[in-house]
Amino acid sequence: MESFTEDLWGIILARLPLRSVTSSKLVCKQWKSTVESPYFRHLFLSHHQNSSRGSLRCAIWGLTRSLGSYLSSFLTKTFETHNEKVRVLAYTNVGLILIGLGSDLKNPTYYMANPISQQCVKIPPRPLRPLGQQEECFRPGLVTRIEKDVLLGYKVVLMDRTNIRTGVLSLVVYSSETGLWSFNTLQSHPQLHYMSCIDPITLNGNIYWIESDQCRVILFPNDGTGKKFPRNCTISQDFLIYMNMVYENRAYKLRVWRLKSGEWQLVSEIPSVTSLEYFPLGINPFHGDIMYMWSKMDRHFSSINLYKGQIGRHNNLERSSHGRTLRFAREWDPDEDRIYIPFISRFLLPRWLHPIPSSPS
Amino acid sequence: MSSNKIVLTSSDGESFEVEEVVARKLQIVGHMLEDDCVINEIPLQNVTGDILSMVIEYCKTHVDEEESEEAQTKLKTWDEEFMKKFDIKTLLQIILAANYLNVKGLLDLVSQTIADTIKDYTPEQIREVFGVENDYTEEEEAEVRKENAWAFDEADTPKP
Repeated sequence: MESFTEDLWGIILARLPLRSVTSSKLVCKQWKSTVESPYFRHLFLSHHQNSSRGSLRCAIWGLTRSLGSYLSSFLTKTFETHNEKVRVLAYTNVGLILIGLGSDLKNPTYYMANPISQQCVKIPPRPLRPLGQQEECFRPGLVTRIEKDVLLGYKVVLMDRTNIRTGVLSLVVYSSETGLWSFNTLQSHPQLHYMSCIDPITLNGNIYWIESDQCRVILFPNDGTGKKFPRNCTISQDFLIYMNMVYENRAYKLRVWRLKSGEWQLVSEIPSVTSLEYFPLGINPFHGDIMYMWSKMDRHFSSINLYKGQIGRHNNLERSSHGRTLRFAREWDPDEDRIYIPFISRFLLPRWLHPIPSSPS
Repeated sequence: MSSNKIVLTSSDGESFEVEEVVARKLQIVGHMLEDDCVINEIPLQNVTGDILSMVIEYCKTHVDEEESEEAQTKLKTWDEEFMKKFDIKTLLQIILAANYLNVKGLLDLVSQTIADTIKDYTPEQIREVFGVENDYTEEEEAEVRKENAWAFDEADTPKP
């Protein structure tokens, strides 16, 4: 097919799932250079812009198993020779995860990995703090920098909460662009008293800890009571979403908020009989109007359409062994909604396979 | 709508008389007509008669793109049946023609059909089907396979 130009092969190959695109590199040198070109990336992304098949983008990737299963088989395969504890510390929405290896919770060996492509990069060891400073358990977060659909770099951000009551947040940051760790302190106003143990959430280059956003503090709405109440925070359609149960005018309400330009917007309000009727688990990452809940009273998972108010009961949802993935308990259908809540909802497959950026050595 | 007839001539001299609205689905023809509206015979040098007749068949069917869901479903079914008539080599010829004649709908349809066919093919099968020559050395091939091992994982290959 000598009359077939690179452009024409590109038009066909851009319609393949990423797995087949990747394997097609083996056909010949021209195909490899075609699918690795920026032209092809653009073609592929514009073709899949509105692709809705498989709500977690498994179809775009051509994956035959669930994300959770790729994750666990990757961890087993990569770290099976290590006798140490392996934990996934942070998830991103570009398909990369941060892994901690070792029993020392304060100072594990960090790895960046893509559990699908199985690329895994070891991060140099973190320098110990200057003498005299107390070591605290860090909560790791991961931020990525993407420009024009290319992943340019990432940062591992560890936060030390020791001096939080004085308004000082100490950060230890590893940047892939320098290949170095650095220390940094941030002053927060107003002062923080409590840092939740929920993992930080990464979105569009910002890192959100529950109660803080870098050095700026965004207060949650309706949070003045000081009482414990069901609440959760997640990402859907590129927005940070907060869900909380409130008691107002002698009635319980489950509210859903969206962070837009630094302000919380009320998306929806659902009346609830008791504070325990629903525990908000997450929002469908691609369909912002579907919220998943755990009903404590009748011990069931349910979903609600936030705009229509319809509640559906999921008899066929099950929890995976590590407790962080919810899925339908039957044969996997790639076109069926799969629900990853609340943690894996932040681990979205991107529309493109981003290689892990290399660091200067 | 004008019922003006236009004659399209293929590279091997075969002529097709079609209505102007059908001919205009070939954007290359559309542009020519805009430049000079008195043309009624157009030679198409890069496409043979057998391929051109299939392109014309597609354009005739798609001449009124109705919005209604029923019409869309009907067209989709027709597209599927139409594509079943051709082997992959012919499909490639149609892509070349659709690209040259600038018929976007047909280009999309054929490339999607080919993509769906080769989705689960091994690189060896793809080379065979398309007659592409493997220009890697054994070492290079092993290297590419290693770098992209995840895409060749047997356990994930759908069973035929």
